[in-house]
Amino acid sequence: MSVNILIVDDSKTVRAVIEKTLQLSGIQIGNIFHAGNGKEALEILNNNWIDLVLTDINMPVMNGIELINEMNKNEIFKTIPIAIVSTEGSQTRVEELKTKGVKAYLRKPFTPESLRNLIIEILGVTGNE
Amino acid sequence: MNEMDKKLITKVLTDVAKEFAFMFADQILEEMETVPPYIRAEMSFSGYYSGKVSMVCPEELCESMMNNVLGIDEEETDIEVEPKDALCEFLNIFCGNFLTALAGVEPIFELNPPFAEDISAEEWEKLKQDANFLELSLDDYPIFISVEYKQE
Repeated sequence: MSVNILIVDDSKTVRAVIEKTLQLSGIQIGNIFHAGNGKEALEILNNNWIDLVLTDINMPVMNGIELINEMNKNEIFKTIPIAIVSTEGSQTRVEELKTKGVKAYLRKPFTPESLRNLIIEILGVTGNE
Repeated sequence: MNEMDKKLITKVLTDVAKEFAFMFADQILEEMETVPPYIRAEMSFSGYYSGKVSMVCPEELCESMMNNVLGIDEEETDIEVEPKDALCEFLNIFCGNFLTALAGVEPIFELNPPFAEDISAEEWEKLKQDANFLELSLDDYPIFISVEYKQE
């Protein structure tokens, strides 16, 4: 089974690094979608099937927490696993996000292995390296 | 800038440069030759502490950083990422990690998105006399860092 992944981050550099990591991960990836903020992410979610959302927290227009709140209002979107990839280091915030249904948290800077392991853990897929 | 901040900045910058950009940070022992253009990136934060973080470096460093982060060969030309974006993300990661090193893992901070702009060669020269900036090297390039913060 291939998985469609939505990457939400205002940095093109981070989106490119995550995409490259996913492509080299050995995980069967379907489509990779990019959004620069939460609003763009919601537009993509409205028009595409997404299996996993990887989102930053601090972004212009609509931040990651506002995106999660919006997704939780929608019966379909709230079933999509969300992982945070952020420079945010507050344990208080991480705990708060877990109460909103966030499955995992990865702090920047991250290693390719940690991102791959996170996806495998959340989706229960296997890497075929 | 006090000595404690200098030590903390150096440690966090060294760790982030190594893990994010595969670059080595070091003290500057003698003046390094640079060519313009120069880029200044800045971002502000609020919470338990509020303030701002700035980094200034030659654009060459941004390009080298981008190439390292994305694993780009010098021949690759179809790159959609701008070198300034790599510096902004480096600053963003540095800021988040610096605040945790400074305040611990309990406080919540709001980090505003970073921005980058060109600065003139004259402004670059003035930085060398600015006591608010710490000068370090990343691989073969100089970089100036400033962190200003106050407790709310």
